[in-house]
Amino acid sequence: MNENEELFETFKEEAKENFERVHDALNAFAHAVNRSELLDAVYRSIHTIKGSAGIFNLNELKDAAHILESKLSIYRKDPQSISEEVVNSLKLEVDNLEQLMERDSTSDLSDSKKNSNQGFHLFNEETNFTSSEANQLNVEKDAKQKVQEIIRVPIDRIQKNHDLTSEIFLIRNQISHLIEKEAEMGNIRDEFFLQWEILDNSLRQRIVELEGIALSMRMTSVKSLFSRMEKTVRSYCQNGHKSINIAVSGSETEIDKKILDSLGDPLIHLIRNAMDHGIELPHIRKEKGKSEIGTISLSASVQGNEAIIKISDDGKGIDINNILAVAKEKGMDVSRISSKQDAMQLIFAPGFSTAKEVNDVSGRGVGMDAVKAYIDKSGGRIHIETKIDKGTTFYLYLPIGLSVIPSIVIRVGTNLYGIPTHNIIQTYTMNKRDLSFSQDGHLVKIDKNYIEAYCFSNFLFSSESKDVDLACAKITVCIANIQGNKLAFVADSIEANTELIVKPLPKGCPSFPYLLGAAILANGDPAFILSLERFGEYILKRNSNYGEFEYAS
Amino acid sequence: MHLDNFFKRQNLYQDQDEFDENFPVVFIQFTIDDAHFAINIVNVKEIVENTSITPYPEERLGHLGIISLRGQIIPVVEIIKNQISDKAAKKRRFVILEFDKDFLLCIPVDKARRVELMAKDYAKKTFINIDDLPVKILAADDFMHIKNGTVL
Repeated sequence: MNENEELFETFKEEAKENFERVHDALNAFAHAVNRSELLDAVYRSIHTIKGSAGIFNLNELKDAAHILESKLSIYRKDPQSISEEVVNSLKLEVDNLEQLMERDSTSDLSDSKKNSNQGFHLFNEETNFTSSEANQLNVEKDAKQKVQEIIRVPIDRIQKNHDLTSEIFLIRNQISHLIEKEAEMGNIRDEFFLQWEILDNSLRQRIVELEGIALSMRMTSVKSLFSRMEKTVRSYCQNGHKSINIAVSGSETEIDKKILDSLGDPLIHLIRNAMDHGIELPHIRKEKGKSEIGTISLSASVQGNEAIIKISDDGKGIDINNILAVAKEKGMDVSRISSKQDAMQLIFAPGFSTAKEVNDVSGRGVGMDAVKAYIDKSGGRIHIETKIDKGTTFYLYLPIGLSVIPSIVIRVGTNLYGIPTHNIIQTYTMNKRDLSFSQDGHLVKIDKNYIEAYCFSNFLFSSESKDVDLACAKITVCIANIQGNKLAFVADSIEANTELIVKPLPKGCPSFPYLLGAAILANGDPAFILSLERFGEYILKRNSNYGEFEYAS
Repeated sequence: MHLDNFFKRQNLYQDQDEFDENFPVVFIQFTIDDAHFAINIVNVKEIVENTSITPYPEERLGHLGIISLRGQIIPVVEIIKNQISDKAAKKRRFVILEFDKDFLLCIPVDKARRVELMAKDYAKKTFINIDDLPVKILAADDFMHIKNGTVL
């Protein structure tokens, strides 16, 4: 990358930040007390974009920004009188600027821009600055000085930094394991052990902090992505026959930049489907007793090592019978479908669409398979909830990235498995006689309630006895919440309560739906990390009866 | 050895002018049960002593589990079913194969040794005769289907 290309990249990043600031200000405008301050912020950002666009000869962007800037100077005179319609029209104009920006930034730098001798100039010769604009430039200059505190670092270097931190953490765990073992055997003086323990705790804390910082370097908030979705909805409403509100929450949630960068297209597919097939036309919504304005909600949150992106609409919902009928029409084998979730997964089949008409927004049946492919590739998963006439919610579970995860290590026969503690509500050590048997399997009594219990040893490979209650007198029970129900998982014992660095499984490993990855234990051996939630879902799916599926009348 | 000579010797040059069929090429010959295999040494990262394998949570044909090689997790595969006793299993060695930066495999073997083969002797052949034994020549392509966790 030459100097000019690097400058152009910086301009793109800065413009992106400026657009975010504008969106934030306009979104906050309706309920703001100090509207004037917000409008000033919008003005400053648009002015900066205009100036930078001029430097890079992006004349169309510069001119559009100039027109918007002129309008803003008029509105600045009386910010309190600005109506919601005006704010909406401003949002559309900002969307237009962003589109111009995206178009220009995706095309390569033109020859004139690449050529530093004739391309870049700080300001157009015909640009004359008034004193107020000069003041404005000073404000920007100050802001730029602050921006200079940020440096751009290649992602590979950040990754290397993170990997090394993880390795140090691993080595510390192994040293700690060795010393504890020697201390147990009485080979280490108590005084030495106590001093070492204080230092080791301090070292562990510092490494966890360092790991957190290393991880945070790759993290980006989903704000810009959500803002793109808001824009998609606005643009659809402008051209279509539906009125749709978009409600956004958790936009400060941070996920790995690599995942974030490629999440845009799958999200757009889901939003388009919600707008086109989910939300009904206003008169139909009125007939159903709903508000004529539909709502699409977009939220992001973090749970354990996963980011959960939730996309829901209050539309007509997905008719599972319709999906099955279309699948049959298309010659798909539906004989093995035993649950609603299974049936729902059909919408991710390539070319599957229940839409009777194809338009420029959706209906071709391409897209949902791309969404699934992307989520699978990222090591995530999708869960769908739908209710006829109430709406549909898509849950995208995405790994946040590598990190130190508080976990327990359980023993199942001869094998050890890690389980992140955020999956677990409570653990109990019990006698094997506390397990009851019923027609459907095991039950365990917790606080006077019987909970369905599943022995890991009946599902996971073990070279020892398959039946946990024959193998040991004491058992360990982990209680977790799976699909809204409490389930108990029975292991032989808990071997450690520790922090593990979860690494994705390398190429060449077969995939298991409930594995999050693998980690190196303190003794240096690798162990697989189970997601209890996914494991529970996997068991329920395996155990589900074919009669569970209800056909609507 | 000068790197250029090494590449020449391993016949890694694409250019046919550089290919010399009379140059000896280094292979690692290994034995699993009664079967014999050989693979170009450029695909062998290292050979390590027996180490404990963490089995997968469910059995998968041909996939034995994972090992840790100085903190790096490597999948272990068996290219033929090896019915050996626990005692014999403890004596086996692990050949670590490297096909690209992020695709490594581990194969447990009974014996491994270094052999030099003439390009003319192994080129375009599936089996060659080494010390009167039929030795199957393996190449990177023989392992590519495992890359996505496919059953052997």
